[in-house]
Order: sequence, then C-alpha cells, then structure tokens
Amino acid sequence: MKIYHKLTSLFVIVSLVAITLSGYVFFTQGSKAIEERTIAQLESIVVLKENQFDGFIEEEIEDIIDTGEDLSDTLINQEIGKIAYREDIRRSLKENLEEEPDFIELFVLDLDGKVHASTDETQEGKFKSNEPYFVEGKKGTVVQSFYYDLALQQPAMTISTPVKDENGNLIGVLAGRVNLNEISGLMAERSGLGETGETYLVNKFNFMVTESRFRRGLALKKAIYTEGVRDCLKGNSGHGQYNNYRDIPVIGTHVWIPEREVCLLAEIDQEEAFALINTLKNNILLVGIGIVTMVSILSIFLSRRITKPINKLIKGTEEIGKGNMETRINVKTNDEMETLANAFNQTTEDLKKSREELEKYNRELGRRVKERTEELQARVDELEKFHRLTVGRELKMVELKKRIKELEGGSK
Amino acid sequence: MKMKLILGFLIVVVLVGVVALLPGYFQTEKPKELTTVKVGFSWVHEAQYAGLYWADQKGLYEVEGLKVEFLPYEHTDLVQDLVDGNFDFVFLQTDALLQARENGLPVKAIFADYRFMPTCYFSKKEYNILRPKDMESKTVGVAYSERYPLIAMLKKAGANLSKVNIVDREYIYEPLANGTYDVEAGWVTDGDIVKSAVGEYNVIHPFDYGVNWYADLITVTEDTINNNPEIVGRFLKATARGWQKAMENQDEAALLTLSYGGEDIEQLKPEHLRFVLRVSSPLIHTGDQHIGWMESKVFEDTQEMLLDQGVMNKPVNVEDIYTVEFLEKIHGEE
Repeated sequence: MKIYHKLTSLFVIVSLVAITLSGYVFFTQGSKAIEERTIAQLESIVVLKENQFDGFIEEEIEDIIDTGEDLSDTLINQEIGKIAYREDIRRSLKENLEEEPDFIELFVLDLDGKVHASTDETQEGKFKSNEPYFVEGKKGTVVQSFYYDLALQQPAMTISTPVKDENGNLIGVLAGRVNLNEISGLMAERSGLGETGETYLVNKFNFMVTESRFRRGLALKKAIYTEGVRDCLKGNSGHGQYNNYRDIPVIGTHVWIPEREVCLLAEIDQEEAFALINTLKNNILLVGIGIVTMVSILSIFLSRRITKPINKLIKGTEEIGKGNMETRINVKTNDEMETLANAFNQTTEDLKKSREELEKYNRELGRRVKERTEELQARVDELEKFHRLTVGRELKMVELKKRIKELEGGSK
Repeated sequence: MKMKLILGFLIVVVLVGVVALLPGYFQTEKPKELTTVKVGFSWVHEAQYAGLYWADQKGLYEVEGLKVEFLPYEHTDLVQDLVDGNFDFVFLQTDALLQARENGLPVKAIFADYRFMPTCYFSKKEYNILRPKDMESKTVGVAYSERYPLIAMLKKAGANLSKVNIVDREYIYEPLANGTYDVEAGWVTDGDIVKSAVGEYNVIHPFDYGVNWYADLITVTEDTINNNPEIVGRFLKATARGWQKAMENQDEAALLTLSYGGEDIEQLKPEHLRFVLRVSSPLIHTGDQHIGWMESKVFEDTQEMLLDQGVMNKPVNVEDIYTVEFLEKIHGEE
C-alpha cells in the first residue's frame, strides 16, 4: 500500500473514530438532558393534576357536608323515614343539585340503607345497605372511589356523609354521585402534554377509571398492567419508559394517591418526546458526515502534499540512477521535506562534481598512460632495432663461421 | 497484513455466530402436549361465556397447555356430573352450590362470572311496575331459582307477599306478551327478546333492593383443587385473562359465540349476542374488584335467604364453599 493511501485512510479512520465518539457522547448527553426535561415536565403535570384532582374531591366533600348540614337543619325534629317529608327533602336536594352541577345525583338513605329521597325519583325505594358509601357513611364523611354504578349504568364515585339531628343522633346518610366527566375532563386537559400526551387514573384493581383520549368507553373496562401501573400500585411514585396500554412506547410518570386508592399517570409517546433527540441525532449525523467528508478531502490534499516531494525524490533518485546528474528536485514546502530535497540536490551536486573530477582524473591518467605507452613503445622499437642489429651480426658471424668451417673442410 | 487478520477474525466471528444461531432458527418446536379439560355450561352456548370463548379462540388456554371442551347444558345435574368426573369444571348458581354443600358434596367455587345477579323481573311498560311493591295483586311467572330472590326482594321492599301471585313459567315470554303474566322473571340478557315479544318494558333488579348472589360460578371438586391445583390455576388464569380481553373488546368477543356449532347457535343473531354481553358486562366487571372475585358476605346473605325460605335446612360454613386463592395468585403474578 502506498504512503498516500495509508495516510488518507489513517486520516479518515481517525476522523471517523473521533466524530463517532464525540457524536455518541454528545448524543447520549443530549438525549439524557431531553429525557430528563420531559420527565420533569411530566412530573410537574402529575403534581398539577393531583392537586386539581384532590382540590376537586375536597370541594365536593365540602359541598356534601354543607348539604348534609342544610338537610339536618331542615329535618330538625323530623325523621327521614317519614314519607310526609320525602317531597321536602327531594326539593331541597334538587335545589342543592342545581347549585352543585358537579354531582349528577343527590340522595338520602334511611338507616336501613333504603333510598328515601333522591333527585332521581326512579332510585327511591332501592336498597344500598351493602354499599360502602352507606356502611361507612353512617360513621363519617367518605368517598367511595371509582366503581361501576348499576343504577346509573356508568362508572361512578360517591361521596357520603352522616345526617344528624340537633342532638347529634344519626338519622340518615346523604350521598352524592360525582359526575366523573368532570374528573375525566380534568385529566383530558393536555396543556404541556404535546400531541400524544395524556393523563389518566387507574384504580387499585388495574382498571382505567377515567376515559382515554384515544378510545372512548374504556373507563372501568380496560385493565392495565404496564410497568408504570405495576410500580404505582405498589404505592410508588416514579417514572420510566415502557409500552402503555395501547402498546405504544411512552415516557411516563406516575404517582399513587392513597386517599383515593388510585394511580395518576402522565404519559407521552416516545416518538414525540424523542423527536428532538431524533433531530439532534440527525444533526449530529449530518455534521459528522460533513466533517468526515472535509477531513477526507483535507487528508487527500495533505497526503498529496506529503507524498509529492517524496515522489519527486523517488523520481530524482531514479534519474540519478540512470546517470542524469543534472537532475534537481524543486521542493518548496518550508519543512523537513524541503531540507531533504535540498540535501538531496546538494548530494547530487557533490556527486556530480566528484564524478567530473573522477572523469578528469581518468582522462589525465589515460593521457599519461598513453604517453608512457608511447615512450615504452619507442623504447621497445629501439630495442627491437638494436636486437635486430645485434642478431644480424651474430647470424652473419655464424654464417661466416660456417663458411670458414666449410672452407676448412674442403681444403682437407 | 493486520487488516487481513482483522478481516479474517471478523469473518470467523460472523461464521461462529451463524453456526450457533442457525440450528435454533430452524429448529422445529416440539408440539406441546395439551391436557384436555371438560367444562359443563349452565346454559346453551351464549355470549355470557364470551370470556371463555376468547381464551379458547385466542389461544390463551393453549398457552396454558390446555385443550378445553365446552359442553352446553343438557338438563342434567351439573353438581353430580362434576362429582362423578363427567366434567372438570361446571357453572353453578349460588343456590345450587350452597345446596350441594349442604348435601355434603365436596365442590367449591373458584370464579364468579356474574358478580351481580342477572336475574330480573320484566313487565310491560304500560303496567308501570317500577318497584317490588308494584307487584302486589299481580301474577309473576318464575322458574327454578328465580323464585328465591323475588321473595327476598318483595320482603325487603315491604311488599305484601300474600298479594303477589307467583306461578311457574316456561322459558318463553309469550305469557308476558298475552297478559297471562304481569311480570315474568328472566335474565337481563333476555332484554332484547322481551322487547321483541312485548315492546317497551320495565325491569326490576333484585340487587337494587339489597338482594344479590353470584351467578355462573365456575366450580370444581375439592379433589381437583387438592390433586390438580396446577390445572385449576392454569385454566383460571386463561379464563380471567379471556374475560378481561372480552370486556375490552365486547363486540368482537360476543360474536365468538358463533364459532361453536349446534342448533341453538343458528338461532343466535349477532345483535342478540352483542346485547347479551353489553348488558352482562356491568354485572361481570364491576370495577371495584377483580373480575371473578368473590366475597363471603354475598354467600352469607344468599344462605340466609335460602334458610329463610326453607330451601336450605341447615347452614354451611360459607368459607368452605369458595376460594380466591387461585385469583390471588393470578393477580399477584400480574
């Protein structure tokens, strides 16, 4: 792999890791902050709704107590069970009901639990002796929390209080059925809950007791076993992320209201709550991609900047290898690469000079050798000449001697 | 070189993962062996059993390892059938359960389908019979145990019992339509049938006058509870869940009745089935307790009523006739 590629890859990988890590940290911290903000918002809504709910019930309790006292005044020295006074009581109840539209029915029970007078005359004569609001209502003011009222054929909540004569003797029980639409209305108010948020109440038997804003008719029909409800019914208050009763992932907070034995939940779809987080995620992704792209381009540029002089050096070396001592490398980077290139050029220059001197020396040497050779040749020639001369004389002497011998032999 | 090593390592990891996961992915699940249980109904197939139908058709029983057979009422003695082992579970009314215990039969209620009595008393609108006292000088048609709450209600409401003409009735509303009866007993689930027979009508509910009992009690033998508590628990868990879902999805649940064949089913119309479950739901699911929950007070009051009317001769310990231990366990788990 070439240095250029290595450098480019390195820069891109390093930038990717850095961006991923910083993006992750930024994203998790951002998400946490957004989640915490959502939970804080839901918690404040839960507190607000709890106060509204408590306030509403307290107000209704006061109304029932006041009505009971009015009734006691009306019935001083009179016994509720007497038919003669039924119409008076009914009239009184109806007048009170007109003033208290949060109730849908007001009725008085005699000591046997029989409805003696009611704003709904069809209920008169019916027995409520087993109803908790009657049994407990004889002892003091009580709220029978959410239940399905068979007479009304709808979910109800009944508040009752003892009715006493001037001597403090119990003469009956006054009860009022609270209009649950008012409570559902309180819960349905969605300010601060966005598009998907809702608050609702769940009783201790896991049943939703106020209407869902997404599906009508679930009050006291829908049993809910979500993580939030489970924790709440243990008497805890808290928050969490879980699938709600519609099986939609939500962020939810809950609070247990022991006096009413109900759980108040505020939930918002995670999709909506985390929309900001998703935007943050997309932004981080976009910025990350942008940075990585820029870093990639920069890394290409930088790699080229680093590898270009190296490539020049390589080429220069190759040229010198071929014997082109005129090769010079032009690098103007103002850094070690320029120093290296200058050193290379200097070395090349020095090498060139050395080579030229060597060549000059060679040439001189050649000339000297030639001169010496010529001198030697002359000497050799002279010697050869002398040799030839000397050898010729000797040969002549040998010839002469031979002739002499021959002559001497012929003479014999 | 290093890159090649990393790549090689990754390939090995992926291969190991695939090899490890593939067998599980393709493994065919061994079919669960289901335990068959027989349930004897107190009536023909009707939307009043919608919770059980839901549990059956939506696979809740199967999840609990059960195959449940529903057997509609055929005028046999359900208590004896249960004791004889012909059924594993039967539906009884409170009076029948109390009498069974009085007779020493070891049966116990584990779930109350109707927490409020569905028995009521119909009359034509124009008769203006709005309260028990209005039944004085009137003829009231009753059958089986419809007589007991009527008498209890009349007494409680202060009506003169001797002035009420109580006669035996058939399971039709023709006598009410033709004026033979002024009042006719029935279940609240008959409301639409009564309306088609007589037009607009008034209805008096005993529970409005402090008379109540549980209806359609799912009952088992003590032997089953002691020897097969697991099956009882699993059956009840699926049934309770089935009822919850049926309450949430009433129209759908009511129409599940149609899936069970038979002559009676052919006569059932979807509108009627939906009506049955709609009027039953407040009596089944009261909101102030878990579905199916039972309290001793209701059994005590019923026993008192039956003793008062001479239907029972001696009291039984009401704590022995029912148990909520299975429901407690189910809701504890939830």
